[in-house]
Amino acid sequence: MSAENILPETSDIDKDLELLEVLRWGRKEFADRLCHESSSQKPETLDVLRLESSYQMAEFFYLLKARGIRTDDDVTKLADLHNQYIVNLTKDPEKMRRLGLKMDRLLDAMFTADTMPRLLANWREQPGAIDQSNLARLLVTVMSTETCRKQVVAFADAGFLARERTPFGNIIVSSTGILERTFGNSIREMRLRIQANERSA
Amino acid sequence: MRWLAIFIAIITIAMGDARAQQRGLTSTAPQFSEADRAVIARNELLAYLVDQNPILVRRALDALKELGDMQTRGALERPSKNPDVDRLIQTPPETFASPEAANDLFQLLKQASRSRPQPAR
Repeated sequence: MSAENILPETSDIDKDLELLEVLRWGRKEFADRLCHESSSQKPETLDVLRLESSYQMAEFFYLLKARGIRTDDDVTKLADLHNQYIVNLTKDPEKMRRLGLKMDRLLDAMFTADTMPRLLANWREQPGAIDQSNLARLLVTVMSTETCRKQVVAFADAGFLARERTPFGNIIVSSTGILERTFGNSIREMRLRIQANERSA
Repeated sequence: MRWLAIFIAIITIAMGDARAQQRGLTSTAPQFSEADRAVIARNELLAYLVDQNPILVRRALDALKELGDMQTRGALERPSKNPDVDRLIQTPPETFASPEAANDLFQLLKQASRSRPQPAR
Protein backbone atom coordinates (compact mmCIF):
# COMPACT_ATOMS: atom_id res chain seq x y z
CA MET A 1 0.00 0.00 0.00
CA SER A 2 1.40 3.37 -0.97
CA ALA A 3 1.78 6.30 1.46
CA GLU A 4 -0.93 8.12 -0.48
CA ASN A 5 -3.40 5.34 0.24
CA ILE A 6 -2.63 5.28 3.94
CA LEU A 7 -3.09 9.03 4.40
CA PRO A 8 -5.17 10.07 1.38
CA GLU A 9 -6.49 13.42 2.65
CA THR A 10 -3.16 15.22 2.32
CA SER A 11 -4.75 18.65 2.47
CA ASP A 12 -6.08 17.88 5.96
CA ILE A 13 -2.92 16.36 7.36
CA ASP A 14 -1.41 19.68 8.40
CA LYS A 15 -4.58 20.53 10.34
CA ASP A 16 -4.62 17.08 11.93
CA LEU A 17 -1.00 17.49 12.97
CA GLU A 18 -1.76 20.88 14.49
CA LEU A 19 -4.56 19.35 16.54
CA LEU A 20 -2.30 16.50 17.64
CA GLU A 21 0.38 19.01 18.62
CA VAL A 22 -2.09 20.96 20.74
CA LEU A 23 -3.34 17.78 22.42
CA ARG A 24 0.23 16.70 23.19
CA TRP A 25 1.11 20.17 24.45
CA GLY A 26 -2.03 20.31 26.57
CA ARG A 27 -1.27 17.10 28.47
CA LYS A 28 2.33 18.13 29.07
CA GLU A 29 1.35 21.66 30.05
CA PHE A 30 -1.28 20.42 32.50
CA ALA A 31 1.25 18.22 34.30
CA ASP A 32 3.74 21.10 34.40
CA ARG A 33 1.14 23.44 35.82
CA LEU A 34 0.02 20.97 38.47
CA CYS A 35 3.63 20.68 39.63
CA HIS A 36 4.04 24.46 39.54
CA GLU A 37 0.87 24.97 41.61
CA SER A 38 1.83 22.32 44.14
CA SER A 39 2.60 23.65 47.59
CA SER A 40 4.89 20.66 48.05
CA GLN A 41 7.95 20.18 45.87
CA LYS A 42 8.80 16.75 47.27
CA PRO A 43 9.92 14.53 44.35
CA GLU A 44 7.56 11.72 45.35
CA THR A 45 4.59 14.10 45.29
CA LEU A 46 5.59 15.65 41.97
CA ASP A 47 6.06 12.17 40.49
CA VAL A 48 2.44 11.32 41.35
CA LEU A 49 1.21 14.64 39.94
CA ARG A 50 2.66 13.67 36.56
CA LEU A 51 0.85 10.32 36.44
CA GLU A 52 -2.10 9.55 34.21
CA SER A 53 -4.20 8.98 37.32
CA SER A 54 -3.63 12.63 38.33
CA TYR A 55 -5.12 13.70 35.04
CA GLN A 56 -8.07 11.36 35.56
CA MET A 57 -8.80 12.58 39.06
CA ALA A 58 -8.36 16.25 38.10
CA GLU A 59 -10.75 15.78 35.19
CA PHE A 60 -13.27 14.18 37.54
CA PHE A 61 -13.21 17.13 39.96
CA TYR A 62 -13.32 19.57 37.05
CA LEU A 63 -16.35 17.83 35.57
CA LEU A 64 -18.17 17.85 38.90
CA LYS A 65 -17.81 21.63 38.95
CA ALA A 66 -18.20 22.31 35.24
CA ARG A 67 -21.26 20.07 34.95
CA GLY A 68 -22.88 21.85 37.88
CA ILE A 69 -23.09 18.83 40.19
CA ARG A 70 -23.55 20.72 43.43
CA THR A 71 -26.57 19.73 45.48
CA ASP A 72 -27.25 16.45 47.23
CA ASP A 73 -29.97 15.84 44.60
CA ASP A 74 -27.29 16.12 41.92
CA VAL A 75 -25.08 13.65 43.77
CA THR A 76 -27.98 11.26 44.27
CA LYS A 77 -28.55 11.33 40.51
CA LEU A 78 -24.84 10.72 39.88
CA ALA A 79 -24.74 7.81 42.35
CA ASP A 80 -27.87 6.25 40.82
CA LEU A 81 -26.40 6.54 37.32
CA HIS A 82 -23.14 5.08 38.62
CA ASN A 83 -24.97 2.11 40.17
CA GLN A 84 -26.89 1.50 36.96
CA TYR A 85 -23.65 1.67 34.98
CA ILE A 86 -22.06 -0.89 37.31
CA VAL A 87 -25.07 -3.20 37.01
CA ASN A 88 -24.86 -2.97 33.20
CA LEU A 89 -21.13 -3.69 33.34
CA THR A 90 -21.65 -6.80 35.44
CA LYS A 91 -23.91 -8.10 32.67
CA ASP A 92 -21.20 -7.60 30.07
CA PRO A 93 -18.30 -9.99 30.81
CA GLU A 94 -16.46 -9.03 27.62
CA LYS A 95 -16.47 -5.36 28.56
CA MET A 96 -15.40 -6.22 32.11
CA ARG A 97 -12.46 -8.10 30.64
CA ARG A 98 -11.57 -5.20 28.34
CA LEU A 99 -11.63 -2.76 31.25
CA GLY A 100 -9.72 -5.15 33.51
CA LEU A 101 -12.47 -5.28 36.11
CA LYS A 102 -13.51 -8.19 38.30
CA MET A 103 -17.02 -8.84 39.57
CA ASP A 104 -16.16 -8.42 43.28
CA ARG A 105 -14.45 -5.10 42.60
CA LEU A 106 -17.48 -3.82 40.70
CA LEU A 107 -19.92 -4.95 43.38
CA ASP A 108 -17.80 -3.23 46.03
CA ALA A 109 -18.04 -0.06 43.97
CA MET A 110 -21.81 0.16 44.14
CA PHE A 111 -23.48 2.59 46.50
CA THR A 112 -25.56 0.58 48.94
CA ALA A 113 -27.99 1.31 51.74
CA ASP A 114 -24.91 1.66 53.95
CA THR A 115 -22.73 3.86 51.78
CA MET A 116 -25.28 6.04 49.98
CA PRO A 117 -26.44 7.89 53.14
CA ARG A 118 -22.82 8.69 54.02
CA LEU A 119 -22.20 10.03 50.52
CA LEU A 120 -25.23 12.32 50.79
CA ALA A 121 -24.59 13.34 54.40
CA ASN A 122 -21.01 14.41 53.63
CA TRP A 123 -22.10 16.32 50.56
CA ARG A 124 -24.99 17.99 52.38
CA GLU A 125 -22.74 19.09 55.21
CA GLN A 126 -20.13 20.50 52.84
CA PRO A 127 -20.93 20.56 49.12
CA GLY A 128 -18.14 18.79 47.26
CA ALA A 129 -16.95 16.83 50.30
CA ILE A 130 -16.73 13.11 49.68
CA ASP A 131 -15.56 10.10 51.61
CA GLN A 132 -12.32 8.78 50.13
CA SER A 133 -13.80 5.30 49.70
CA ASN A 134 -16.82 6.77 47.90
CA LEU A 135 -14.49 8.73 45.63
CA ALA A 136 -12.76 5.43 44.83
CA ARG A 137 -16.19 3.91 44.04
CA LEU A 138 -16.96 6.64 41.50
CA LEU A 139 -13.51 6.24 39.92
CA VAL A 140 -13.54 2.43 39.95
CA THR A 141 -13.25 2.02 36.20
CA VAL A 142 -10.25 4.32 35.82
CA MET A 143 -8.12 3.53 38.89
CA SER A 144 -7.83 1.07 41.76
CA THR A 145 -8.75 1.93 45.33
CA GLU A 146 -5.05 1.97 46.24
CA THR A 147 -4.18 4.30 43.37
CA CYS A 148 -7.06 6.54 44.39
CA ARG A 149 -5.71 6.65 47.94
CA LYS A 150 -2.16 7.44 46.77
CA GLN A 151 -3.55 10.09 44.47
CA VAL A 152 -5.57 11.72 47.24
CA VAL A 153 -2.53 11.71 49.54
CA ALA A 154 -0.38 13.37 46.87
CA PHE A 155 -3.08 15.93 46.02
CA ALA A 156 -3.49 16.72 49.71
CA ASP A 157 0.26 17.19 50.06
CA ALA A 158 0.17 19.47 47.01
CA GLY A 159 -2.62 21.55 48.55
CA PHE A 160 -5.20 20.53 45.94
CA LEU A 161 -7.40 18.51 48.30
CA ALA A 162 -8.27 18.93 51.96
CA ARG A 163 -8.15 15.55 53.68
CA GLU A 164 -9.74 15.09 57.08
CA ARG A 165 -10.19 12.05 59.25
CA THR A 166 -13.59 11.88 60.95
CA PRO A 167 -14.10 10.57 64.51
CA PHE A 168 -15.47 7.40 62.82
CA GLY A 169 -12.19 6.82 61.02
CA ASN A 170 -13.39 7.82 57.55
CA ILE A 171 -11.32 10.13 55.37
CA ILE A 172 -13.27 13.02 53.90
CA VAL A 173 -11.76 14.86 50.96
CA SER A 174 -12.76 18.12 49.35
CA SER A 175 -11.19 20.16 46.62
CA THR A 176 -9.52 23.49 47.31
CA GLY A 177 -10.37 24.56 43.73
CA ILE A 178 -6.81 24.58 42.35
CA LEU A 179 -7.34 21.33 40.45
CA GLU A 180 -10.48 22.52 38.68
CA ARG A 181 -8.96 25.91 37.86
CA THR A 182 -5.74 24.40 36.51
CA PHE A 183 -7.56 21.76 34.49
CA GLY A 184 -10.07 24.30 33.16
CA ASN A 185 -7.34 26.75 32.15
CA SER A 186 -5.43 24.01 30.32
CA ILE A 187 -8.51 22.88 28.41
CA ARG A 188 -9.45 26.45 27.51
CA GLU A 189 -5.97 27.26 26.25
CA MET A 190 -5.98 24.12 24.15
CA ARG A 191 -9.30 25.16 22.64
CA LEU A 192 -8.04 28.69 21.95
CA ARG A 193 -4.88 27.35 20.32
CA ILE A 194 -6.94 25.10 18.06
CA GLN A 195 -9.21 28.02 17.14
CA ALA A 196 -6.20 30.24 16.46
CA ASN A 197 -4.72 27.57 14.20
CA GLU A 198 -7.99 27.35 12.29
CA ARG A 199 -8.16 31.11 11.85
CA SER A 200 -4.59 31.30 10.58
CA ALA A 201 -5.12 28.43 8.12
CA MET B 1 7.80 1.58 56.93
CA ARG B 2 8.59 0.79 53.31
CA TRP B 3 10.86 -2.06 54.37
CA LEU B 4 8.12 -3.38 56.60
CA ALA B 5 5.66 -3.27 53.69
CA ILE B 6 8.13 -5.07 51.42
CA PHE B 7 8.82 -7.66 54.11
CA ILE B 8 5.11 -8.30 54.66
CA ALA B 9 4.58 -8.54 50.90
CA ILE B 10 7.34 -11.14 50.59
CA ILE B 11 5.91 -13.17 53.44
CA THR B 12 2.44 -12.97 51.93
CA ILE B 13 3.69 -14.08 48.54
CA ALA B 14 5.92 -16.73 50.03
CA MET B 15 3.08 -18.16 52.12
CA GLY B 16 0.96 -18.42 49.03
CA ASP B 17 3.62 -20.26 47.10
CA ALA B 18 2.17 -23.73 47.40
CA ARG B 19 4.53 -25.11 44.80
CA ALA B 20 7.53 -24.24 46.92
CA GLN B 21 5.97 -26.11 49.82
CA GLN B 22 5.33 -29.09 47.58
CA ARG B 23 9.03 -29.13 46.73
CA GLY B 24 9.75 -29.53 50.44
CA LEU B 25 11.63 -26.27 50.80
CA THR B 26 10.45 -25.90 54.34
CA SER B 27 12.43 -28.90 55.49
CA THR B 28 15.70 -28.63 53.56
CA ALA B 29 18.26 -25.92 53.17
CA PRO B 30 17.53 -24.03 49.97
CA GLN B 31 20.02 -23.91 47.14
CA PHE B 32 20.89 -20.72 45.32
CA SER B 33 22.22 -20.68 41.79
CA GLU B 34 24.65 -18.07 40.47
CA ALA B 35 21.70 -16.22 38.96
CA ASP B 36 19.90 -16.32 42.31
CA ARG B 37 22.97 -14.93 44.05
CA ALA B 38 23.14 -12.09 41.54
CA VAL B 39 19.52 -11.19 42.34
CA ILE B 40 20.20 -11.40 46.08
CA ALA B 41 23.28 -9.20 45.71
CA ARG B 42 21.38 -6.40 43.98
CA ASN B 43 18.46 -6.40 46.44
CA GLU B 44 19.36 -4.97 49.81
CA LEU B 45 16.50 -6.68 51.61
CA LEU B 46 17.24 -10.15 50.22
CA ALA B 47 20.93 -9.73 51.06
CA TYR B 48 19.92 -8.82 54.60
CA LEU B 49 17.55 -11.79 54.94
CA VAL B 50 19.48 -14.53 53.21
CA ASP B 51 21.48 -15.65 56.25
CA GLN B 52 18.61 -15.25 58.69
CA ASN B 53 15.84 -16.82 56.65
CA PRO B 54 17.09 -18.48 53.46
CA ILE B 55 13.79 -20.31 52.97
CA LEU B 56 11.93 -17.03 52.78
CA VAL B 57 14.47 -15.68 50.31
CA ARG B 58 14.16 -18.85 48.23
CA ARG B 59 10.40 -18.36 48.06
CA ALA B 60 10.76 -14.71 47.12
CA LEU B 61 13.11 -15.74 44.30
CA ASP B 62 10.62 -18.38 43.16
CA ALA B 63 7.84 -15.81 43.21
CA LEU B 64 10.03 -13.51 41.10
CA LYS B 65 10.57 -16.31 38.59
CA GLU B 66 6.81 -16.69 38.37
CA LEU B 67 6.62 -13.05 37.30
CA GLY B 68 8.93 -13.72 34.36
CA ASP B 69 11.18 -11.13 32.81
CA MET B 70 8.61 -8.41 32.29
CA GLN B 71 9.95 -5.17 33.70
CA THR B 72 7.44 -3.23 35.69
CA ARG B 73 9.72 -0.34 36.59
CA GLY B 74 10.00 2.40 34.03
CA ALA B 75 13.37 3.50 32.73
CA LEU B 76 12.92 6.95 34.17
CA GLU B 77 12.15 5.80 37.70
CA ARG B 78 14.68 6.43 40.42
CA PRO B 79 17.05 3.57 41.15
CA SER B 80 15.80 1.26 43.84
CA LYS B 81 17.72 -0.55 46.55
CA ASN B 82 15.44 -3.52 45.87
CA PRO B 83 14.79 -3.45 42.12
CA ASP B 84 13.58 -7.04 41.87
CA VAL B 85 11.73 -7.19 45.18
CA ASP B 86 9.85 -4.06 44.14
CA ARG B 87 8.31 -6.09 41.34
CA LEU B 88 6.67 -8.33 43.91
CA ILE B 89 4.80 -5.46 45.51
CA GLN B 90 3.82 -3.57 42.40
CA THR B 91 0.16 -2.74 42.32
CA PRO B 92 -1.55 -4.04 39.16
CA PRO B 93 -0.39 -2.10 36.10
CA GLU B 94 -2.85 0.69 35.53
CA THR B 95 -0.68 3.62 34.62
CA PHE B 96 -3.08 4.30 31.81
CA ALA B 97 -6.80 3.96 32.32
CA SER B 98 -8.74 2.31 29.55
CA PRO B 99 -9.84 5.04 27.10
CA GLU B 100 -13.23 3.31 27.02
CA ALA B 101 -13.55 3.55 30.80
CA ALA B 102 -12.47 7.20 30.80
CA ASN B 103 -15.04 7.97 28.11
CA ASP B 104 -17.75 6.12 30.05
CA LEU B 105 -16.98 8.19 33.14
CA PHE B 106 -17.12 11.39 31.10
CA GLN B 107 -20.51 10.40 29.67
CA LEU B 108 -21.80 9.44 33.11
CA LEU B 109 -20.97 12.87 34.48
CA LYS B 110 -22.56 14.43 31.42
CA GLN B 111 -25.78 12.54 32.10
CA ALA B 112 -25.68 13.63 35.73
CA SER B 113 -25.12 17.26 34.80
CA ARG B 114 -27.57 19.91 35.67
CA SER B 115 -28.99 21.76 32.65
CA ARG B 116 -27.00 24.93 32.38
CA PRO B 117 -29.01 28.16 32.64
CA GLN B 118 -28.86 30.17 29.44
CA PRO B 119 -26.76 33.34 29.82
CA ALA B 120 -28.74 36.60 29.65
CA ARG B 121 -28.45 38.27 26.26
